[in-house]
Amino acid sequence: MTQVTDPALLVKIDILQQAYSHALENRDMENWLATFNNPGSYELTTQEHVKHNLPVGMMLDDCYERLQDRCTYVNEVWNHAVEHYQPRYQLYRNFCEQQDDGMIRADTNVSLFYTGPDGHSHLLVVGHYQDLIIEVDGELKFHSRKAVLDTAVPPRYLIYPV
Amino acid sequence: MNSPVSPADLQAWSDHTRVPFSVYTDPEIYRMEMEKIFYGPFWHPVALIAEIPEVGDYKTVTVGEASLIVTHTGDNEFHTMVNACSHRGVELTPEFLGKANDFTCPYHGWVFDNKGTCHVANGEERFRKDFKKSNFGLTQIRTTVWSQVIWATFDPETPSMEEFLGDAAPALRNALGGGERPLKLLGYQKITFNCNWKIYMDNDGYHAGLLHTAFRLLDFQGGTAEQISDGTGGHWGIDYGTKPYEDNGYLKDASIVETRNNELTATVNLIRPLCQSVKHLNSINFRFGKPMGPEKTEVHYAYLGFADDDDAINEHRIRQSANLLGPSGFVSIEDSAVFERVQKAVSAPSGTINFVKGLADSPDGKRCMQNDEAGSTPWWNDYKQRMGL
Repeated sequence: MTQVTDPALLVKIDILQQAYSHALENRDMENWLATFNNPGSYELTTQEHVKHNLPVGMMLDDCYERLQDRCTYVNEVWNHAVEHYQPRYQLYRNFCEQQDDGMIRADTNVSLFYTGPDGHSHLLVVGHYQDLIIEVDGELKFHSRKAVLDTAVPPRYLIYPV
Repeated sequence: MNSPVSPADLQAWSDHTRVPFSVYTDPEIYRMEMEKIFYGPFWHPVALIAEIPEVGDYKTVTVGEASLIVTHTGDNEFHTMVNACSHRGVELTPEFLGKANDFTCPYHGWVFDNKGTCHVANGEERFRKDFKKSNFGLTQIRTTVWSQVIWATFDPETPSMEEFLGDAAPALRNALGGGERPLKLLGYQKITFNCNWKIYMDNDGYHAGLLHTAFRLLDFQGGTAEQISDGTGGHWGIDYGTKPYEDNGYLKDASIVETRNNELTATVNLIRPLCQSVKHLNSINFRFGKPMGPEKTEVHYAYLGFADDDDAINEHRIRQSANLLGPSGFVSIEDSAVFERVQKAVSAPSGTINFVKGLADSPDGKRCMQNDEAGSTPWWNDYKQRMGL
């Protein structure tokens, strides 16, 4: 593996990261889905799970169909009952490496704040993303995105992916 | 009986099926609950054997507000101890899960084995003359094992587990696969609900088909099983057969709601005061609750499979567990929302939570239909008397 130093490629990676968080900040699940390749996967787990090698975390969409279904949950199934919140992301790129198979392995810190319907803002979770990114028709997509939270106990239930 | 606490609605509380809002918000009530319930004659689940399967494994857990260590010390031998050095009270370990044959206090280096016996008290040659290490073991909490769950109680008068659970025992045993086939830990979902611990426990039962949109969309409703409330404080359990899901095309990946290996038994259990266990489809979960003051409750959903599961059913349980019945689950997230919305509402200065459905058919509430509220009323009857309200 080689570290990615090409400024143009790093910008493209940043644009993918921004597209992901921008979609979630706007509760735009279709554009969230659009950041994934098909096949693609998403997992939300915690550092505690990684430490103890436990496979069941907070969310697990291990195929593209599951990613599509998560959009349906947020947009249709849950909408009438849940208390939506406004997420805001802070991202920090740790490293990006080009793998021998052409995919990019990226690690990015994330701090996610939320504001509830009452207007009060709090920290929701802190952690990092472990991504495999693939180029498809000149555009970068997530082949897999694993969000590993340092936060073992979020302060409220999560509606949207992190 | 006049209430020993101050809010006017508590002073006037006479009907246990109409619960005053202040029961869910009052700090003095919360303090009384610690004494009369959490440190009273109730068994509390402190660990699953699957969480600490090997000798030397340990787990930390909070019961009420007491930090405890649960250790696996021999063949089906477990100890529950207060997680505080017997010298100056320092927490011995902050780790959630670990392996250790002894615990060393970081403050003065006292060492305790995993049964709580003190082996090292540094500088003891200069301690008071009557000092004996053997008198300074960790505080032991009465512990038993039932259906692969390790239970502890602070009260020496708490009855046996069978008596404690009463007729609610079979549903709980079924939720855990019958109690004999060894369980395996798959993971956790830990969450803070911004609600009183009793709101978390109240709000299951009468709502599945009304609240949970996913059940309607998937045509997964219409349960007819009987619910049973029995044992100390009125534990609540239902145990029923389910039909395999027939794919109606709503989900792109319907495998997530498939029931495999003919595991068609479903159960929901509320074990008083603050534990739930649910088995639905192929997902098995056991929920440890922790009160965090009058208006917060932390819940650890532990997900389980069986040690002898083959790879295919193991993978299926993992996929289903991570997505179906947790605080952000496909069919269950609305529960999380309701817990918090009830808490916001009960902050009003007066008002009552009302249990009404099924009371006409089952005045004692011990046996009623699956979607009735009558199953909650034995608990509230017991609670009111136990608290002296």
